[in-house]
Amino acid sequence: MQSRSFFLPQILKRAVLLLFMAMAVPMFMAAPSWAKTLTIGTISANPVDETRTFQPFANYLAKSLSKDGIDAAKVVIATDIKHMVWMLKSGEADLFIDSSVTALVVNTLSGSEFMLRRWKKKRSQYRSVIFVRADSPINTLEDLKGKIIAFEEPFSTSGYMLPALTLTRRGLKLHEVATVKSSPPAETVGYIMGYDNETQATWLDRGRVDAAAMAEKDYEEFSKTSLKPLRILYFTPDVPYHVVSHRAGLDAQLVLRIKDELKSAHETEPGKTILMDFESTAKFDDIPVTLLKAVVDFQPYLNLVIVP
Amino acid sequence: MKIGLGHKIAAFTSALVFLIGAGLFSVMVYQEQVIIHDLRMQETHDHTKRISAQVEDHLYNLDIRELRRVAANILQAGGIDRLMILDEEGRLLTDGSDKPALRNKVPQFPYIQNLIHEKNNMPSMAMDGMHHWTGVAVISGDDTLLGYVVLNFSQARLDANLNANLINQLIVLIPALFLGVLASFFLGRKLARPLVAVSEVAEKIGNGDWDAVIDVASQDEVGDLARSINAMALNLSQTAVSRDKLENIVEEKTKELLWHQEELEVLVNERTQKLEESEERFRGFAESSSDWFWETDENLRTSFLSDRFEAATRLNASDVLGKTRRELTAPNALQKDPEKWQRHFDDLDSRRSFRNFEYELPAAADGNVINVSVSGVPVFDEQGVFKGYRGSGEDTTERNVTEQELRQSERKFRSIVETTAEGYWLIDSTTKETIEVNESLCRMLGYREDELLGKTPMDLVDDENAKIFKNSISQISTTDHRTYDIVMMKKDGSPLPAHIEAATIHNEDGSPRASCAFVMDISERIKTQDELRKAMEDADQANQAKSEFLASMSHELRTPLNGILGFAQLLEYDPGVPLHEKQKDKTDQIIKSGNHLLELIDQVLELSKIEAGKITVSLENLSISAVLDECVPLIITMAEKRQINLITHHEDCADAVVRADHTRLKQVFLNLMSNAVKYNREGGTITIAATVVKAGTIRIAVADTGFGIAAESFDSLFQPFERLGHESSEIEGTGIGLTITRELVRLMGGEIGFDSEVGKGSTFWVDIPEAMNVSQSSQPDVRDEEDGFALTVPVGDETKTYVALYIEDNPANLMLMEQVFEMIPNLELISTHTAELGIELARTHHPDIILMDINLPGMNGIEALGELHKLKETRDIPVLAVSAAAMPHQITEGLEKGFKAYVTKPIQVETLLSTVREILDAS
Repeated sequence: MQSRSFFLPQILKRAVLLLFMAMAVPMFMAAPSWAKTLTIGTISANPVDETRTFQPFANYLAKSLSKDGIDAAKVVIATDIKHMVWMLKSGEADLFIDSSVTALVVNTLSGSEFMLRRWKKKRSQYRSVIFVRADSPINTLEDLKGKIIAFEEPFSTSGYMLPALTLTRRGLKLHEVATVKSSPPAETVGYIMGYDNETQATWLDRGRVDAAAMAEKDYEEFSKTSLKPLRILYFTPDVPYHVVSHRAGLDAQLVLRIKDELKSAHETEPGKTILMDFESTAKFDDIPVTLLKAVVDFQPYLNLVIVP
Repeated sequence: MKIGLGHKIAAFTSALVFLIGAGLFSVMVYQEQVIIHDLRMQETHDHTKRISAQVEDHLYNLDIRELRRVAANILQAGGIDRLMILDEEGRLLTDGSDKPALRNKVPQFPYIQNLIHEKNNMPSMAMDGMHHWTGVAVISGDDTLLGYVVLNFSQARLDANLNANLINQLIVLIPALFLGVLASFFLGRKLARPLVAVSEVAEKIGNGDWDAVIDVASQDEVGDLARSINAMALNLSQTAVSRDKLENIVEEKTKELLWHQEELEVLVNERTQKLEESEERFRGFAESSSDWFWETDENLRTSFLSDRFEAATRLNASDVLGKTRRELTAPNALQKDPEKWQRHFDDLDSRRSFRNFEYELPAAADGNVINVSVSGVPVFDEQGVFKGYRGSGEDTTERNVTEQELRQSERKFRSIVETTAEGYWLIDSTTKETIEVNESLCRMLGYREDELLGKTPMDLVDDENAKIFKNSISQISTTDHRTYDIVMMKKDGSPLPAHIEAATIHNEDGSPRASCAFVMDISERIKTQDELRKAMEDADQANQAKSEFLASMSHELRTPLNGILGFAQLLEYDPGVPLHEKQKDKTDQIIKSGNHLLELIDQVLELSKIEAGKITVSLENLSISAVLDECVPLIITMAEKRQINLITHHEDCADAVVRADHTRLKQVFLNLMSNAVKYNREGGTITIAATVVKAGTIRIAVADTGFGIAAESFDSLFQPFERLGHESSEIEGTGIGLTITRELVRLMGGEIGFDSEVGKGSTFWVDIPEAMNVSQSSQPDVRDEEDGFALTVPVGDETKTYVALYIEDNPANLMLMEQVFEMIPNLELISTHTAELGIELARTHHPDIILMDINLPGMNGIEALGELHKLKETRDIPVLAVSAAAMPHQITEGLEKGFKAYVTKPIQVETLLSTVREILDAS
């Protein structure tokens, strides 16, 4: 990629410099101009519970950033992706913490940016599996055409987004069916939401659906108590379990400071305790390039799968 | 025992109240139990029907989330212990929990079996032990069986409800019963009280108390009886009063007389006791004193001697009583110091007091002369007439001897000080001036005695050493003994290194009086220490040279071994070119022998650790048979070459498990076995036997039929590099095997020993502790040979092709790595033989991983790593060290410099590939 530069006439250049200095001097003499409340957002249907979970962490972060002009922290809960997008765009939320694929959707729509990986429940990354009964004639993803796969729910990263995006990327077209007894068009993969892992597994067990998809860890649990032996058809790529994003236009210096504070939080005893209380978060670190790439690679297919 | 009328009435009425209350309560409880039970059963029946209606749609859709929610809500509402929703075949769909243990299983309860059998769509109920069961088949409108709903609650829960009611009722009943009993008690008391009062007063009057009056005001039969008894008692009382008054007056006067008599007796006794105490006190003083007391009459003749006299002087008191001091004194004593005696006689004649007059008494029966000291005062009567002397005496014989010994001791000390080679130095604590020195100190410092006297310590040192003296002097008041080294200055200005031991001498009040020091010339000692330090430095240098030699040797041997072992592993694992059985056996032998050679290299390195006492072992449970079975094949080829027959006997210990380090134990056995081959005769025999020598110890003996060892060589057998005359023989060896073996056996808590006879052979044995408490399930660590592993599995993301750069100057190693990487489908290897070219390749190709040898021509691997880290394009590429530099400090250094991982040569292909996979996955 080529870089561009802009050249100004010498006099104009000096005038701009003087103007900048005139504005900058009082700015540096006063308190930080962005002294304010930091807002941290997430999407949840249980706002009271989520606020209770997020607030101690938010307070800790605000305290750590007190020298950077942050005097308090507020937790904001969006009801859905659209709401969150609005919050980030309007500046109602500075940071957004959620699963990586949800974050990809929100970032794509709001212009917010990936910032850090969060080791929620001490997990760094995860992946989903698409599975069938061991005696199923389905052997490839393409064999799912004309069949029905049970997903978990529309906003589940592992139970819907990851497997659905994987299927879409493979060129398969998804078609939502009303009931398990419906028949999807022959060239599409029919899908239905079970709204529950156990329902998905039961449907597959009893032949109501042809395949199901869920997080690998959940699959391992259900495969132990399955009525019929199960077989994994496909592993989706690994993606970060949880990530932190920041809104577009958030002060770059502040973003750097937030990153520094979050990345070092687990190195102190108070920080470690706060993180553990924050849904057993082991630490925050940079999102490994390969994992970030695995998420971002789904971007072209989002509009085929996600309806915000 | 007499039971009162009131109590009898109270007991009777209480029992009546209690019986009526308890009876009514029992009837009420029984009726209530029956009603509650029936209601509960009906309620459960209805509840089951309601649940059935509630879940039928969810059962139809197999919507487990809704089924679980319904079940959880019902359970949360309470009253039910278990709720199971089953599918049409009776398999559990949910029990309300997130992870039902019986998911997809038919719960094995007789009630459920029966319910599934009957498929009844009306709720049925049953009792199973202490549980009530109720359940119903859920059937859709078209008579399709959808599943079952089964509830269960314990009889204990029902009982708990009943018990709660029972307790509530008891809480009301018990106070009511209590009040009833209380009322009965008061009623009984009320009825019986007048009769009891009449009875009590009648008893008093009978005992002579005619003043007693019955206080009963009731106008009934009891009241009449009371009033008659009161009138009778009044008449009797009036007759007895006058006689009692006279008797009282006589009795009081008698008591007064007796009191006065007792007072007088007490007074007399007190006075007598005080006199006795006073006399006792003075007798005690006299007896407890080591002195004695004496008295003379007006003619100065001894008239009294206390009891202590005879014990103190060993003279008979009778020989002294009646004599004057002049008569008692030995004649020659008077002549020794006549003036002293004259002064004493003058005192006596003048009737003056005298103190501590010392003289010798005549010899006692044992012939010893006794020195005494006496003091006395004249005694006059009330008219001032002299009545004699009175005083005390003490034996001063021992005190005189002690003083004489003290003088002798001082002479002896003086003699030591004058003759010792150490300098003696006495310094006044106040003035800090020298007050006494000996000849040795003068000689050391080159001064005369008169020159040293009066000098302070500061006059004898330079400024730097003056601080040491000042420090020592500052400690005089706090520390009695001080030791320090110092450089003093001789009279001619030359230095005198000295060691000083100083002590503080105190006054009687504890304040420091002087400082006494002994000064030693330590010039020779310092010289010796310098020589010793130099020798230590030389030894350290030699040790460093040895370490460098060992590191170099390790590196040089590992490089060719890398080729041998690496290619052998490729031969064995390559699925493209499978080996036939014989080839596989031979390859196995190459790998095993190569690995053993590698272990031996490590042993040589560890010899230095053994010498430094730094070797460690990792103890685990090992099957002795398995370890021997691993060792014997490694030695068979060697034995066959010399036609030596190998016999093993470890059947008795086939299941024996010892506590040892696997590698070290194998090393011990191989050393003993290879020695048995090497030092055997052609066509000889080696017998390897494992036996239990004592409880908890397994002995493994390796016996040969070789030359044997001469008795005079026994002591040097385990010495390092000692080969007992085989140095120039054809038998190869370093002479360190047995040394290492002995140390390893000791480290594993075992013992090693041998028996040998020249011409017949030797038996070397090791005793190893048996593992304790090895259960059947805890099998010993029998290491099966691995079946190999899949080299052809892709690394990382199988859809991506990774690029690895290998920088290695040894062609064989390069070829080996190329062949290893060829088998991995999505891994491409590029390579070069110098670090400089490698850096260039890294910049241009930007590989996903770099494998770097360390010992490279020109720029070495660590320097190359530094360069890679400096460059923007390469700083993030993970670099893996693959090196024959395998000393622990070399590995540590490599990791500290920034290598992601460090793999030592000879490489284990599996280890190398898993490390590469981990790095690629993480990056």
